[in-house]
Amino acid sequence: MKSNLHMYVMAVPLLTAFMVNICGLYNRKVIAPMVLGALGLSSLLAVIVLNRTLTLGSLSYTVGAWTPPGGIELLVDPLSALMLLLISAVAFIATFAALPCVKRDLEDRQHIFFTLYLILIAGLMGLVLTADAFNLYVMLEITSITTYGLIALGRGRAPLSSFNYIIMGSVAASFYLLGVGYLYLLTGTLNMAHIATYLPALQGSAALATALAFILVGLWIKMAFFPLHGWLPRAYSDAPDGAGVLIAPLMTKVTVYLMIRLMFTFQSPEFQLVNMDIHNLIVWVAAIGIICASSLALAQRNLKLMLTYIIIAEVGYMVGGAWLANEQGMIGTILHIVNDALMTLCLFLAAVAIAYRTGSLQFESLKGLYRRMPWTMAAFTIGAFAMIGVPPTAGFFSKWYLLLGGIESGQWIYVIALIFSSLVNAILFFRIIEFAYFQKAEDEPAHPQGLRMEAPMMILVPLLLSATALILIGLGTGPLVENLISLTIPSGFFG
Amino acid sequence: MNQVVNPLPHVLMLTAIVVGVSVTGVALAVMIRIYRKYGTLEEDEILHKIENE
Repeated sequence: MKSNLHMYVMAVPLLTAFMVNICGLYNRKVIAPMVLGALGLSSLLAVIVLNRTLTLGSLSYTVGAWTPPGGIELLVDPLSALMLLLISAVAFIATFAALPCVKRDLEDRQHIFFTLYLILIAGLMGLVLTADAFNLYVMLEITSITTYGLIALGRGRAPLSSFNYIIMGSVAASFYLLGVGYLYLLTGTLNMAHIATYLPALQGSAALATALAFILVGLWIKMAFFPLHGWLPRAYSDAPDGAGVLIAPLMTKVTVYLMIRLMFTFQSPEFQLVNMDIHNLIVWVAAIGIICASSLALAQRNLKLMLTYIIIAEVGYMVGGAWLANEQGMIGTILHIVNDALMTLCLFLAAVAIAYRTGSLQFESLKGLYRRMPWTMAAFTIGAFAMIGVPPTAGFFSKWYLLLGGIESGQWIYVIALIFSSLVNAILFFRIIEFAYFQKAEDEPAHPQGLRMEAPMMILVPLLLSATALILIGLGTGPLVENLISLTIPSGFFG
Repeated sequence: MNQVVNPLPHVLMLTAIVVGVSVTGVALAVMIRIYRKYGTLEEDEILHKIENE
């Protein structure tokens, strides 16, 4: 069905970005209401779009009335509508915490920060919406370039980490672009659905295999799939606090969505994307990635660096789950995209709240935090339980689906990796809880009045909100899977 | 009609060039920040300075 509503979800932050740049230059007070207003409106529109796609099916908009395959089509189906809502909601919540951090860290550059911030959000939404393989490359670069800029605004060795990411990100983009070039030469079209109609005739062609390999490797570098993850830990931990809460929950998850989108669009009963051996190979690499990233997380002595290695392990969960080639695994993967975005948001917000008050995230400086910041640490504990996979938090249920999927396809290495990673996560987080709950800080004042140093409301409220969301989604997993997630998988995809 | 050149590859090349230029621009800007901070662009020297911090 034709509709242009989903285009506005993306257009609102994009247009506000430029207005923030101009108005924020003259009056800094207008930045906060403009950014929050734009993202609030986007979230609201995303809810309506999701509701419409569930009743009416997918909605399409041809930009400038240039019809596909020549023109660019913006297409939204239940899966992309879900991602659209996830992006706008996470961005909306994260912005509350980003505002005080940016005000403190980048006093006179707030308008520049929020211009990049809003363009990044618009780019992520564009990635989800576009149905054109080349437009996807442009959106990928819009998100990447704004992320490079945001990371380089951080302190310490941030410019160096950003430069490292620029090199890796450009390599990834070139891989993707080469792959799209091959596809264009083979099929003569760039619209993804249109490309898919030519693929069955090309089954077994070496050029097609090269194209798909280039595209997949490009996406894997962008999502930091082990062993292509080297750029991620420093880039995400050196990013300014205000940018980290947005980038860490969303970037890798949206790239995982892109991989699933390609699988859904290209694969059909007449055309298999890759043969069974490569399916198994990818799941093996994912399992090894989960084990290695979890082990590397154990070696960290800094809370944020530890969280970044957990993100890499979670990418392994999702890539592995998507290639298990059964419905349980795919449901688990899509559910885990949602859950992992919220878990990462919750833990990063907690890290930001701690850093805002103590100034350090080394494990030694976390001592005695349960008495100093009880609410922050309560939310942190819920986020930690979700990462470990303790019921009834959301993390347990998506992991459960992934485990069922792994058992169903007999991928025991993947099942072992999931269990291993859950155990390591338990060690990681209980070590922090032990530091923060049972050990006393050296400089702790004697009387309880001087103890409390809870984070400001602007950080605390979104933190508590994300922790509540983790429990609510956990409790509502059954209806969520039944009424939404299982509808996002194209009918007949698994035969 | 057969004499008309397909414009799409040109558009793609132009867009890819524009994207490439903007990435290079950002990379150069970040390099300037690295140079201001460490006084060098030699990777070994930068890593040495970070270790001694």
